[in-house]
Amino acid sequence: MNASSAMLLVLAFPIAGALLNAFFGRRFAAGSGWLATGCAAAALATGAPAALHALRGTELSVKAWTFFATEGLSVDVAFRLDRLSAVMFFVVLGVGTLIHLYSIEYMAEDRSRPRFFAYLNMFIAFMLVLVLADNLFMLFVGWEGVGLASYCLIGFWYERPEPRKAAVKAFITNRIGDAAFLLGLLFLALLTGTASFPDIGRFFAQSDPDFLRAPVSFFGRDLVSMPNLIALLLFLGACGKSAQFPLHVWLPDAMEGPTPVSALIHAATMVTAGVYMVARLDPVFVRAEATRELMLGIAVLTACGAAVAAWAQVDLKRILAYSTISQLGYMMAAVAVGSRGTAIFHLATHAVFKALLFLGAGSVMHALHGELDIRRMGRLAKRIPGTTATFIIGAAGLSGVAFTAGFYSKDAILVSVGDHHPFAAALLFLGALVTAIYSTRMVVVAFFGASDRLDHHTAERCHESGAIILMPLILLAIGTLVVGHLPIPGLLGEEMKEHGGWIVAASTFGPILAIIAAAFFYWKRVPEDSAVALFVRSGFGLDALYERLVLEPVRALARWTTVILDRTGIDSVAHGLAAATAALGDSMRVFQTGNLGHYLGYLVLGVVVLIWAVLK
Amino acid sequence: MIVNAYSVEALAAALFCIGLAGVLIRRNLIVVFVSVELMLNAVNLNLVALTRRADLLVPVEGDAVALFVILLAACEVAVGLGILVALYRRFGSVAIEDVGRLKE
Repeated sequence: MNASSAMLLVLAFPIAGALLNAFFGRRFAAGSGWLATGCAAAALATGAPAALHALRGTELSVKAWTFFATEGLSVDVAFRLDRLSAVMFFVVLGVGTLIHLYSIEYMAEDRSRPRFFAYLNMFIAFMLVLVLADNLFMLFVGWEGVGLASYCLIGFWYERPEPRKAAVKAFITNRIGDAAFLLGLLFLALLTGTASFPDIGRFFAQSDPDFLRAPVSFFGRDLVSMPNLIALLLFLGACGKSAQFPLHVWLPDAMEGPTPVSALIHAATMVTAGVYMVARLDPVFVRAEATRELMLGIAVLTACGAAVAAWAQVDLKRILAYSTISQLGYMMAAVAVGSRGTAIFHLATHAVFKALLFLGAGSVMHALHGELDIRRMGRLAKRIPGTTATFIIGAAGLSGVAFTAGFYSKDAILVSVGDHHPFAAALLFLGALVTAIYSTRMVVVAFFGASDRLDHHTAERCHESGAIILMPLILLAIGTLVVGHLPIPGLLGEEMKEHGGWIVAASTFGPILAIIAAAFFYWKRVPEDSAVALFVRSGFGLDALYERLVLEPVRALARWTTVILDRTGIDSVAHGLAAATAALGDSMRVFQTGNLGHYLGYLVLGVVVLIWAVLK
Repeated sequence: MIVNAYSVEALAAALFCIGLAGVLIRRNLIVVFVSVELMLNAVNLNLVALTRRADLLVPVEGDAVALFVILLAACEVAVGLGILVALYRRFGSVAIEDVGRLKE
């Protein structure tokens, strides 16, 4: 089997798995999880050789068929495997397969398992389309597809109102970004006259820099240059997908979905699509200095703000959600300074340790029958030691403890950002300290601490999860220790920079000191509901603000259109027309006597009128 | 006696008006029917008279048309009387207000 057909087979496996589970899943409900896991693993096995080749530098490009062709623009259903997409391939399918496996036990008691696994495989298929896309439009297909899968999976337990609301919120928030994103794609295709990534790269390499710097005229006013405009629109799309301020509000609510979904979609893979897209369209962003300044500002704001918000959460999954937003801010900061190697490096390490943390949180939920409030946990370490051990490794990776995954990648990002903007790097370093603090707080309050706050009933039934849940946890824990040593930035053409002793010292000992301090502080303390804590916990009141500024005006407009415009305006026109017609008909009824003589009279009258009209 | 074509046309018009009045006024359908025949024959008379007139811009061969109308009238009588018989069987009357079902 040659490499091209292997690549198409990679896509065929999850699609087949999704369709089989969707149509026949009910007949083998118990096996649906194994089927889905098998499809993900088969895709990984089939694509791995080609992806390894690609990592060594052999690029592979497959054209399946022509998507559409118009005058001047021809778009193919085509896929490419280069170093960037190969890294993403391993992240998506490596982490994805483990999460599929984990879900088998996690979802064992849900009767809609086939639907769950069909969605999960559908997500994998679209995510692969996204990362393997060879042109803008295939990227967009994958981009929207994973959004759909995310919507379906957040709202998986649609009988309850919260998941429904969260799913709609996620979808609509993403729509806002996607509208700009699509506009950006179209402008880019318009500017370059092509959709394929290599051709776009060539276009920017060969174009006259003055031409690219020329400002765009809009209603007679000069705006930013074309690359800046395109980059800005694309970045807005990335803001929605990768949960950057101000479009990040959907991600904490997305935790209403099943925990494996939070791990796979809302931590490891889909939310990183924005970062991947910016890395992929590097040629555009390189020529958009002004937009990159803005991106860096928003990324730093997101990274630090979300870290502080995570500090105040009491719900285990919401801590992790805000932490994900914060870490995505780090990746976005890296691509904003043009360092896509370190961004993808952090993307990969984050995928591993954050998936581990989410799956660990899922295991805790399993043990405690759905309990997520860390104030009602405490001393879990002795009850569920396996989960605790792996969770601590994940938290260490997140905090950036020396020699774990996050240590290397976060360090690399701080150094790259520091080269351009020392101040931004300093803020990100502070954010990293806060990261270490909230990670420690999470671990200490939930798993250790002085008090056991479980209620009697839960404590009695508390149990360690089974082997199928523990195995992915252990594998991901090993991954957290290993993945930081992979030469991913080097693969993407970036030399790891040597840096001075004080930076090494700060990034090595800073998090450790923060961890020790936080551990002492939280050992005997349970988070309280002070006014400040409640405000920060609500995400700095942004949801309430959006409610005021956006939702209420929209609802008022909707009410106005229904009551005033529709009912009194349009409806009264329609009703009036009907009433007028009926009245006219009533007035004509007097002529319809049913008497033949009368009718003959009308006939003669009509003839007389006609003759008069002709002879007049 | 040579009859003036104009007098014949005047007679035809008079007959037509009598027939029309009969159609509009009489309540018995048979009489209405006879009035229709009267109107048809008024037209025939008119056609024949027009043929005799020499002062028309376009010569009219009214005789032939009159023959067609006579033929048509014969057919009409056959059908119309049949309908009248059927109406009588259905309603027991041929008075115009008794067969007024068109309103329903």
